[in-house]
Amino acid sequence: MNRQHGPIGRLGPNLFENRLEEAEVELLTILPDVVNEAMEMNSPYVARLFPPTYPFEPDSQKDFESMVGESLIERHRGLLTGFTSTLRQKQLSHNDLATWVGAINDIRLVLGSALEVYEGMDDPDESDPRYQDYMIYNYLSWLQGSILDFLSEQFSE
Amino acid sequence: MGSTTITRPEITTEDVTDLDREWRVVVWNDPINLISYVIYVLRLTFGYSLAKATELTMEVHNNGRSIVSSGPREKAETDAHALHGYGLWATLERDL
Repeated sequence: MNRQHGPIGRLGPNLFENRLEEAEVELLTILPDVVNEAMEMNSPYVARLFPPTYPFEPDSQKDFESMVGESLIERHRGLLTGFTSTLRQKQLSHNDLATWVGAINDIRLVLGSALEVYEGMDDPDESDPRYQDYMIYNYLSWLQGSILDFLSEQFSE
Repeated sequence: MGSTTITRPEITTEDVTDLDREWRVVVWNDPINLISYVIYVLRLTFGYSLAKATELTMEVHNNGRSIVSSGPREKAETDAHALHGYGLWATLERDL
């Protein structure tokens, strides 16, 4: 996408301007639904949202999952819902941006898993069937990085 | 970040009980999470300085893994669960 400004601007200490363009909002509204559907279908592409805590201790893993598994599902769903519900707000709080960056990361994890992204991967050729999804993945990486620039300002050093 | 394969730690002291052990929270490298995002999550979760969070993140990136916290099992589980909520690939292992 060609654009004249960053996706987010600062309006105050805890207030930010949503500068997303309509086409971006439309795209970003669809993606959380894709991730939610993948979670409901137990798609292998959502595995990175639920990594094993005890990869070599099945009994401990089972116990841990029974203890916190549901809350992790709710955490990811909550991020996606919070993201979708604030996408059209013109002004955003720091907490809104924190939700956005977590939700975008979840979407990237699922999309990146589906695309089998690896370090140093070249952009696929335009004729590659993965091309469009890879461009969306790249866009999400850029958007996440842009938001992180603002969120990182919260720390004292 | 890059891709990596988790490896099983060698455990030689089988007679030590869980209560005696410290547990390590290990973050593993993956090709999707941005370096800037991992630094942000470590600062947010543990209150680490930029220098420490960057050092740990680069250890993940360059060596495939890094121990980002340790402590009693309950604390380690809480930490790992928090990191999973941010999409980091975290596992627990016994401190030998």
